[in-house]
Amino acid sequence: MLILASLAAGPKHGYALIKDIEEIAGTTLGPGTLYGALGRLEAQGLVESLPAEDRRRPYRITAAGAEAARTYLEHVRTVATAGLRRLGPAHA
Amino acid sequence: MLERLVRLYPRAWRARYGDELAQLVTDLRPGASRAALAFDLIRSAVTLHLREVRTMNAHAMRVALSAAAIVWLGVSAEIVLSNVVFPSKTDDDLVPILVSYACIFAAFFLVGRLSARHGANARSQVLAGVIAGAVIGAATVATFAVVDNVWLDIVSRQQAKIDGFAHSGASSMRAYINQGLIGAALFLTAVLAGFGALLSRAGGLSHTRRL
Repeated sequence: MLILASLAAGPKHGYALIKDIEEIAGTTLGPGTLYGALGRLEAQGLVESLPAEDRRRPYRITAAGAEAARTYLEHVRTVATAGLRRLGPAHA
Repeated sequence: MLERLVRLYPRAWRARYGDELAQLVTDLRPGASRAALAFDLIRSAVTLHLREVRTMNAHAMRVALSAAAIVWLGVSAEIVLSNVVFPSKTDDDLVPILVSYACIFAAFFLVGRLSARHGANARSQVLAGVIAGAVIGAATVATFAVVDNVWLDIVSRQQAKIDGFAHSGASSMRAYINQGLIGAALFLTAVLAGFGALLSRAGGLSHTRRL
C-alpha cells in the first residue's frame, strides 16, 4: 500500500520510491523488500514498469492499482474516523 | 560485494529485476548500513525462493493428487470386477494386473510432464511422483482391505488364498488376509513412491527436451 500511495503522485524508480515512502510514512523499506513487493504488485497488475533509464526502471500505478489503493485508503479512513470519534477529545 | 547478494534470488526473478535491484543497492549504499542492506537482501531472497517453491509445489501437488485419484478409481474398479463380480478360482489375472501397472506408470510419467509444463523444477517433479505413488499404493491396499473384508466369502475361494492360509498358521482366513495387507500397504506404498519419483522426473525431462 505504501508503494501504491507513493506511485499515486507519479512514476518513480526504486531509490525515489524508498525516499518518498520515508517522507510520507516514516518507514524505510529495504531494497529486497521493495522489489519483492514491486514484483507482486506488477504480477497483480497494480503497477507497471516504464522503459528503463540505465539500470533504473520507473514504475507507475495502473488504473486497477489506483482503484485498489483508493478502496483500501477509504476503508482505513472510515476506521480511523470512527476510532478517533470513540476516543473523544480527551485523546485527541 | 552487496550487489553480489542479488545472485541469491530465484533465476527467473533475477532475470527480470536483478539489474534494477543491484542498481538500487548501489544507490542506497552511501547512506545505509551495509549489515541492514545485507539482511534485507538475504531475507527477501529466502522469501522469494519459498514463494516460488510453494507455487510450483501447489501446481505439482494438484496434478499428482488428480492423477492418483483417477488411477485409483480405475484400479479399484478392476479389483472389484476381478475379485467380486467375475471372481476366478485360478490365478489367471496376469493381464489385468499388467494393464493396471502400465496405467500407473503412465500416470507417473504424465504427472512429471504436466508438472514441468506448469513450471515445476526437478525437485517438485520428483515430489509430485512420490506423492502420486504413495497415494495410489496406500489407496489401492485400502481398496483390497475393503473388498477382502466385505466379500470375504467370495475372495476366500481363490486358490492362492486357500494355499496361503493353509501354510500361514493364522487363526482365520480374515486374519491371514489382513496380516498380508499390512505388509502389502508398506511395500506397495514404498515401491510405487519410488517408481513415481523416477518416472515423474522422466516425464519432466521429456517435456524439457521437447522445448
